[in-house]
Amino acid sequence: MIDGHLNPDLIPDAVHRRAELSPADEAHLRACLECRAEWALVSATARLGVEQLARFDAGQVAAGLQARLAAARLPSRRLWRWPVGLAAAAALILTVWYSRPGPIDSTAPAAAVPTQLVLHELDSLNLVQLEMVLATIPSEVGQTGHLELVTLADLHTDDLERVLRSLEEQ
Amino acid sequence: MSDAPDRSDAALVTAYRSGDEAAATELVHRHGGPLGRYLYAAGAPPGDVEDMVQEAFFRAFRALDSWRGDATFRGWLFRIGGNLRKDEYRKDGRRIVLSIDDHDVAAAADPAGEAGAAEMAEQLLAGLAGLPRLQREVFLLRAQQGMDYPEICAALGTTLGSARVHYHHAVRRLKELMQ
Repeated sequence: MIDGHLNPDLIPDAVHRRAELSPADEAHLRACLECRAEWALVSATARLGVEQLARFDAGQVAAGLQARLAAARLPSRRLWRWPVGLAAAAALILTVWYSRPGPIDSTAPAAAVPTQLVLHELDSLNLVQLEMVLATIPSEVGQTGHLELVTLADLHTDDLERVLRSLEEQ
Repeated sequence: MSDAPDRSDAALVTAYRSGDEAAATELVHRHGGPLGRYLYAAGAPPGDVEDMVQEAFFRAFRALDSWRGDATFRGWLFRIGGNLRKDEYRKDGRRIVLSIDDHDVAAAADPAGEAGAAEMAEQLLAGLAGLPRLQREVFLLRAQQGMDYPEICAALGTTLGSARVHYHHAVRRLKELMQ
């Protein structure tokens, strides 16, 4: 009791059944108009909306939410697929080209061998994306100095198809 | 749905972050109804409540990284809902104020009377609409949602003393209107 009335903290807790009224509290509540009015107010507030929103459909809300969350995730996934696919393609190009017999002549003079690797497809990548590409390149590549300029246009049909298939799988 | 219906809100949020999309559905089933009633009591038209609840959850899940856990997920969600209601209110440029002058106040003051319940609810809505925003939110979180003061303070970013004062003023004013 506070100032001859129920503790105001007790009323909402009791209405929400997180606390129990003692027999003395119950007796006071029956006798005190002020406390009864407060009890009635809190009780009415606790029920407010129950009847008015009886048709509230949480399942429908959840379904709509899932659809929106999925739609919101899509663009970022699509943006991310492009550099990942490109990284895989670049790695595949390097691997295919590096393993091809013929163009590489290990007996040729060193001065005649191209030592720079140029992939124009990588020009538009940012630093993070570029690091992803580099991470996919076999470590021995670049150490031999026997790589030539490689672009998609340089690939044979079979190799190009392998590259495109790897992109589609991403 | 999840196999573990008793998982805490924090556990469900963690599960969602790990890719368990059903955890989001479980949180909607747990808090969607109460949030809807909170928005309704704060003046949202009943026909808009489901959309607003969905929007509040959407904003919450899109901003989960900003939930630090200092507030409960429920409190944080209700704060987002309150802000959403405020935005809607500003956008509408209108305010729903129901007159209480024409109603039989004496009948509505009888909490046991079924007939007076609807009228009392209507008067209560009118009274709530007339409260300052923070008073209304504190009162609703305490009286309607049954939150304790620490949870309310964390949700609304206010102090314990301030929250108690807001609740006290809201109760006094609403009692005056309804007696």
